[in-house]
Amino acid sequence: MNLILGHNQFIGISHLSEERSEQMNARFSSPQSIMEVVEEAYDIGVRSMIVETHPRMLDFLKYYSKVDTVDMSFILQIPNVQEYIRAMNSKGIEGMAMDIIRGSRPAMLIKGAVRSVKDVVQNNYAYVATTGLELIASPYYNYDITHVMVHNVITDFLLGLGMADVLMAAKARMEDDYDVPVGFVTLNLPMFLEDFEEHRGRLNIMTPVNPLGYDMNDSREEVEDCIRATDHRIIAMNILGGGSIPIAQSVEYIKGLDKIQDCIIGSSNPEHIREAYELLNGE
Amino acid sequence: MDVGVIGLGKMGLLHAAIFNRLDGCHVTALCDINELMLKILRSGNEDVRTYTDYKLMLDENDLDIVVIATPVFLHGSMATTALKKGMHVLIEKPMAKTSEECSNIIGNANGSKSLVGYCRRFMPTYNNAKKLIECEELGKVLSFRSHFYLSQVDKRMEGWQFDPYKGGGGALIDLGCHALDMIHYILGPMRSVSCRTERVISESVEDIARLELTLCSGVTGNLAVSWVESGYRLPEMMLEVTCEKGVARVAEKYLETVSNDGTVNKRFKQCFPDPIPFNIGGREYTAEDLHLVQSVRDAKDTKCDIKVGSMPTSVIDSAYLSARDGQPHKVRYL
Repeated sequence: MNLILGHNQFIGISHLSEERSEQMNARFSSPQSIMEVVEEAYDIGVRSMIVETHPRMLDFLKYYSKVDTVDMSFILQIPNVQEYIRAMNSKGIEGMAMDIIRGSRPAMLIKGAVRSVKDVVQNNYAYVATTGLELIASPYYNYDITHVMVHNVITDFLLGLGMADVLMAAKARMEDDYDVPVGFVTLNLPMFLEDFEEHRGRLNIMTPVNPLGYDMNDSREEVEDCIRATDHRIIAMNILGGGSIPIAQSVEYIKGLDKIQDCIIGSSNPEHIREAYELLNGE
Repeated sequence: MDVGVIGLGKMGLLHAAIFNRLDGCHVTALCDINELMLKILRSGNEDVRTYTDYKLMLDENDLDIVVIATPVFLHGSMATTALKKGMHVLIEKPMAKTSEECSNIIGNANGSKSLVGYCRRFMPTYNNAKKLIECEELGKVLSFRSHFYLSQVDKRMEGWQFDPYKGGGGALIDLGCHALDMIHYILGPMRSVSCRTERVISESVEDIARLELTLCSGVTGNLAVSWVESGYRLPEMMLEVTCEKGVARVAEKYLETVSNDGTVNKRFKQCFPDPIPFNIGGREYTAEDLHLVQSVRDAKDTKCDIKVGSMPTSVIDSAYLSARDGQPHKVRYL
């Protein structure tokens, strides 16, 4: 089974407490400190990791390219929601858009502008908004990005508004521009699959899967049924319930579902990563 | 049920997505002064009617529920207009700038159901803390301390939250209202308050507030509120209650008890059953919106209607008076 290194610990996100979040934030304030964990994970057998469109992860990717000690592939999660929510709250949507434009690669900016003009003429303003996702991602495509995943806040928000078609249009555009498969993170697998019932082709879907059923909405049983029935590639996240579930218990549960081939572990502890890797791969 | 949303910032958008997805509900009207936002949402959903004038929206649509998620200074007029039309309302916190404005809203309730957006009432850690305190598992309450911290402000910032006319104040009214509501919810009403405020970075509103509170039960405690506190990427509302047999400490992510004999029991939010149909941007928001829908269907009052939701504002009124004159002030509820 493929074990993917998560990124929450590197950008100070803990599901256990704000105190723990701050400890991790301080511990991983330099790209070197993140690289140490990545190298240890690589030695254990981990070959891919999640990076989010976060300034710290961009610094890490730049450092990673320079040191060139390991050959990881990266799954890019877009966007870093907290940053843009704060921008929208304090500066409004236009101010947030300017922040996005300032951080984008010039080539993508030009392409995005041309496309946006067409969208405005055709009154496809929602598609203009999704161009923002591409602009946010653009600085990261210089690195070994093998997959892109749209953050659950965007995925589930657009599904809530009944805009699954906008999500699919964004996916098609990003795949067309960057030749990298685009998938979705969702906390609501049954709802997602219902809305994408008509979609042809195999999707990459990242969703919480853990024995507590934490954030498996609307119920653990319903998500399990969906996992068993679907042909899409399900990537299990939040497998430790944010640190509240022992690794062995989680792995036993995931293996019992049969269909899962990819798991994310958000840990900076090499012993935990090794334990998860060995249990998942039957050692 | 037909739902309208006024104010399409973060909370308005969130409520729109949630209500639109709840069984038997559909968002049919949206209102904001920002036409670009309206164009974006309309282009993705042609059925929805969009407005820049909330009065026109309320006149032209027979809405069952109206969500008011605008800056605080607009809550009074919008809520009053919706309630007069017999619509049920969800008003984002704080309910209004002052008790007087709250009183006007309550006076127009007209039999409609209402909910003020104190979303932490829907988080399992706090509800389990409430049960523990109410059944006196740790004995009688002796004292409490609380904080609401967020690393939001590190430089002079723009936005209505930093304009005293639009926001009604700074950190105390914007963040402290959550903590005051939770203290009410778990420990009961307040008799008096002393308050000191500080401006550290912001020019026109307080960044920090420190309150000494006396409950009607005679129990005393304190509350610290700050949006310039470092180390809090996400907000933390912590309440620590000291009881005869130990201490209970609760925040969004955990509930911990420490008995006098040293026994520690810490449970994380993941361990509490908390079934919701879906999670869009936070489980508590779905729970909150679902609660209003169920209350409307069952013709029952919500757990934080406009009368209950006005209580933190009453305390904040007295707190600001105290901050100005340096004296403790009685809390006068509506």
